[in-house]
Amino acid sequence: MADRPSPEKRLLEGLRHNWSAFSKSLASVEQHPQFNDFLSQYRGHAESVPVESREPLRAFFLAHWKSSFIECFNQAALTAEDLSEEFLKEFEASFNMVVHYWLGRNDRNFQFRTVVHFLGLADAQFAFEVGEGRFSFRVSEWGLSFSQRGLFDAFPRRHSLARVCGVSSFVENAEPSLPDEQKLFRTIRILQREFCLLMDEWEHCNSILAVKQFSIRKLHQTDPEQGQAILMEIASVRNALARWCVRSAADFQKFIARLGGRKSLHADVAAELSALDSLVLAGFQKFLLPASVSRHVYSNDVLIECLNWVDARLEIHPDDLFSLIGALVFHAALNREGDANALCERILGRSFEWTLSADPSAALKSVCWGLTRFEHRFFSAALVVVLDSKLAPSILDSHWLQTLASVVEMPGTFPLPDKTISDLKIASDNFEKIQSRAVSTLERCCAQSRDEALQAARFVLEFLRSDPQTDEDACDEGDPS
Amino acid sequence: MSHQTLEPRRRAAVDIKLLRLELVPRGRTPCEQISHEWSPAQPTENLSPDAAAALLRVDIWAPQSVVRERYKKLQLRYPPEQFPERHVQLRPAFELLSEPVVRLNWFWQSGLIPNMTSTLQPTDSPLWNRDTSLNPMTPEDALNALLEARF
Repeated sequence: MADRPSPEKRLLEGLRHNWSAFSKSLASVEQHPQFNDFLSQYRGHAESVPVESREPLRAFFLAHWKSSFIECFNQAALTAEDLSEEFLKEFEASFNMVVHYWLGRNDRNFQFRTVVHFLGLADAQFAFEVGEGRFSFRVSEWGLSFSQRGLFDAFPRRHSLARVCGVSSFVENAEPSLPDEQKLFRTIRILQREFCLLMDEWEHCNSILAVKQFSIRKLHQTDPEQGQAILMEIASVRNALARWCVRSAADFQKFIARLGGRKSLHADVAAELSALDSLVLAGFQKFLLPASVSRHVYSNDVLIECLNWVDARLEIHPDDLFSLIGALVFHAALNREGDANALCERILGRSFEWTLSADPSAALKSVCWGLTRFEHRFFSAALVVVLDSKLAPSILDSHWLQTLASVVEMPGTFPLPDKTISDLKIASDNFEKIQSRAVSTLERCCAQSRDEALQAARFVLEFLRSDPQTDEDACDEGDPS
Repeated sequence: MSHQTLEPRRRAAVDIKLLRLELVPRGRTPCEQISHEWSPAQPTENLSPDAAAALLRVDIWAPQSVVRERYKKLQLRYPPEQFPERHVQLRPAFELLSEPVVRLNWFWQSGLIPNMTSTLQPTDSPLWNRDTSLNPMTPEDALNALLEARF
């Protein structure tokens, strides 16, 4: 009995055995006479009216999938104890990753989602029995979910991309031979490609969500309750999608950190690795955008994944202020303690001793709803100083002043109550120094700018000088020493 | 542009390519690590990796050192002082292919997903050649990787 594979493995092997049946039924939709027209018009959205002539194919498809699933589960010979809710969710995550790589006719427009929309499968639910276990699955445009109790997430689970890209099974040798180097080079290239595809998927899914949100704008007047329910669903899909993407980015970053620590990397491998590093950084910045674009408030589990990413990045770039500022703002949004004094000393020290790998304003904006007034003021002032020290020629132009102004006004655009309790540790003289340097920078800008840039500079300056009373109170709370 | 080396991302993505921002921005950024200043002579918008590879006669996905070696050879054969017009073509091609970030950036902006194949011989490029290059990931690959990764 000891040699028998675990139930998870048996079920995945069952799936491998039956996968051709699943993929056959996915591809069968192209036999439908209307499919070619549908595909040429398809942009990721369901048709508003279900088409009757597709009904037989729909019924056939669902029956076929149901029987294929029963076959998988039967082959795995699972007991009732095996079939726990968590076990089913793990299988759901694996199954959705497999379906993620399915493309009909090698066309990226012909995915699982295309089939769901063509056949009108969204929200189709089925219950079935395997041995002593009873459970059900639900189809949605985001994938498939399984449950015993009929509890389905708006966005079904997916494993991190790292699991299918050979990262977790990657074994390091102390003295790499040529096949090891080849495998490493190949793995890095796989990660580059899959991360490009991930960002593509991210943008595609976000545009689908944006269209959804736009289409319910009238519903708010006629049926506010239903409008609210749809908004909630969109928000939870956004969270789960971002969690999947950021977790994949964090796993990739951990892999980069692991290899970056190695001393003797082949020059070609090192070049590809640093390209991957930049690519993941660029992608991570994209994942922070829903806050500025849709005023979306990320849930804690997304922020925790963001922190994982930042920690992995700091391992190989300990002097990167983008990550240092990011770590502090994510800590603050999660109501965790943070110590800003080390950051202040770096900023106030010599600017060639630290780097700024990306613009930190996106990170700051994405969690500005989770900062107190004092914290927001501190990070805005720090941002002014950091940008000013790294820009060449050393002057904040109109573009950067607009960016700063948008950071300043951001918290007011979220319909959330102000946070008042701060866990950020910062010595008051450090805060004063940063504040006064930011103010003098902006005064210099005011003298040199005109028109819109001048307006933006004045706006930021006014904010930094405003409301000393409330801010000092917050400062006392934040710094008990 | 040959369709053997490129695979359109989504039908719409190719149409919107002009709207797509650079993945790794240049110019307006304080980013020291990722800002690669592009030489102003480089006609980046008109130069595709296919064209660059044809000019240099290397593989699009050739490792950095292979591209460098090839470029060095071409420079010896056509010294820039004697063949300036030829060098005007070769240099941007070299810059596009020798820097992995620039190449990835091109793919991103073009709205196309790289098809990572190679025609190099194992003797010319031990790290990356026709035996080690990549095919698109299939569901079966994903399943095998999942089975391998977890147990």
